[in-house]
Amino acid sequence: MVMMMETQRIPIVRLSGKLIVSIQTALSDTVVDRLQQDVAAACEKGDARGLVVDVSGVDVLDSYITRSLRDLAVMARLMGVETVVCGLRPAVAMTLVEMGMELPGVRTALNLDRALALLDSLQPEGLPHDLAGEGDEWEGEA
Amino acid sequence: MNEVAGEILAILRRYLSEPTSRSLLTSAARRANVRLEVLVRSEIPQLVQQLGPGLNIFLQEPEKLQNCKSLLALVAVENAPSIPMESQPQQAESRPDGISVPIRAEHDVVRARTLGKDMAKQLGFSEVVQTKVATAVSELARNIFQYAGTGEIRIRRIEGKKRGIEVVARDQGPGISDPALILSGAYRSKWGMGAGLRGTKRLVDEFELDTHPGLGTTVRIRKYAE
Ligand SMILES: Nc1ncnc2c1ncn2[C@@H]1O[C@H](COP(=O)(O)OP(=O)(O)OP(=O)(O)O)[C@@H](O)[C@H]1O
Ligand SMILES: [Mg+2]
Repeated sequence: MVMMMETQRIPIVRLSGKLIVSIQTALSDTVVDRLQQDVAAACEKGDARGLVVDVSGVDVLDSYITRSLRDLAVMARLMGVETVVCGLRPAVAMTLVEMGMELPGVRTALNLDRALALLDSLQPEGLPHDLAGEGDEWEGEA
Repeated sequence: MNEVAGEILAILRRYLSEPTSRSLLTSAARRANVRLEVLVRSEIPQLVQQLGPGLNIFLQEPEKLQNCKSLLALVAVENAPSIPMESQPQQAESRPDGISVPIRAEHDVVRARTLGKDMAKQLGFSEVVQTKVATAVSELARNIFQYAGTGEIRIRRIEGKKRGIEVVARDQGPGISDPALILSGAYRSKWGMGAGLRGTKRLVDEFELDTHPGLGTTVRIRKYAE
C-alpha cells in the first residue's frame, strides 16, 4: 500500500500573466494553509495580474476552508493581485448560504472562462483597489 | 448481475473504473462461492469479505481504500448483523449501528467528511443533502480535533417513516462552558468565527448539544432526505 505522508501541494499555474489555482483534491487544513503560503509567495514575485481559484473540484467547503479561501483572496488583493473564485458547485453554494458563510468581498464567477474574462475587464494596475466594496462586485449567485 | 450485486458494484464504481470493479466483483464472487446473477442479501457479507484483498491491491490511496471498505462493511452489516465482519482496527469501524471514525489527527477530519458524503450518497440522498451532511461532519470533526484532541464521529442511517442520516460526534475534551452563547451567534472565537456549530445547526433538521465542562461534548445531528 502506498502511503502518502508528505503534505500534498496544490499547483499554482501561470497563464498569460495570471495565476491559476485549480483545487482538485480533498482539502485538509494543512493543504489549505500551504496553499495560502504558496499564493503569497507567488504574488510577491510581482508579475501576476490576477489570480483565479477554481473550486469546481471541491465538494465540501466548511467554515474553516471557506474562511481560508476568503483570507487568501483578501491577502492577494492587498498585494495588488485581484482574485476571482470560480466554479463553486451549486450544492456547495447553497450549503454556504444556509450556514451564513458567504464569501463577502470576494469576487466570484461561474467558471474559469468567466473568471479570466472578469479579471481582464477589471481596472488596470495603478488605480486604487476598492477594499471596502463588499457584495457589490459579485458576478452571480453563490 | 442482479440488483443486489448492482449495489455492491455501485460502491466499487465510486472508487474504481468499471472494468476493474467488475473483475474484482466477479473474482470475489467466485471465491465466495456465490453467483452475482442470483445474489441474495444474506450472501453480501461473504462476498464483501472476499473483496478485501483485491481492493488492497487496486485502491492505492489509503483514504479511499478505507472509505470503500467502510461502505461495503456497512452494507454487509446491515444485511447480516449476526455475522462478524473483517475488522479494520485502526481506521473506520463498522457496527450494526453505523460507521465509527476515530478522530485523532487532522487527516481524520478529511476522512470523516469524505465518508459522510459517501454515506449520504450511498443512502440515496440528493447532492445538496450530501453536501450539507458532509459539511456538518467536517465542522464537528474539526472541533473535536481542535478543542478536544481526540474523539469519535459515528454515522448511521435512520430507518423508519422518514429516511435520514444521523451523526454523533463525541469527545471527552474540555467541554463548552457557554453553549447558549455560542449558538446565539454573539460569540466570536479567537481563531475561528464561531460559525461552526451555529452553521451546523442551520444545516440539519435536528441538533442536540450535550456538553459538560471538564467531561466532554457530544453533538447529535440528524438530517432527513428532502
Ligand atoms: N468539541 C468541543 N470541545 C470543546 N470546546 C468546543 C468543542 N466544539 C466547540 N467548542 C468551543 O465552542 C466554540 C465554538 O465552536 P464553533 O465550531 O462554533 O466555532 P469555532 O470552532 O470557534 O470557529 P469555526 O468553526 O467557525 O472555525 C469554539 O471556539 C470552542 O471554544
Ligand atoms: Mg469549529
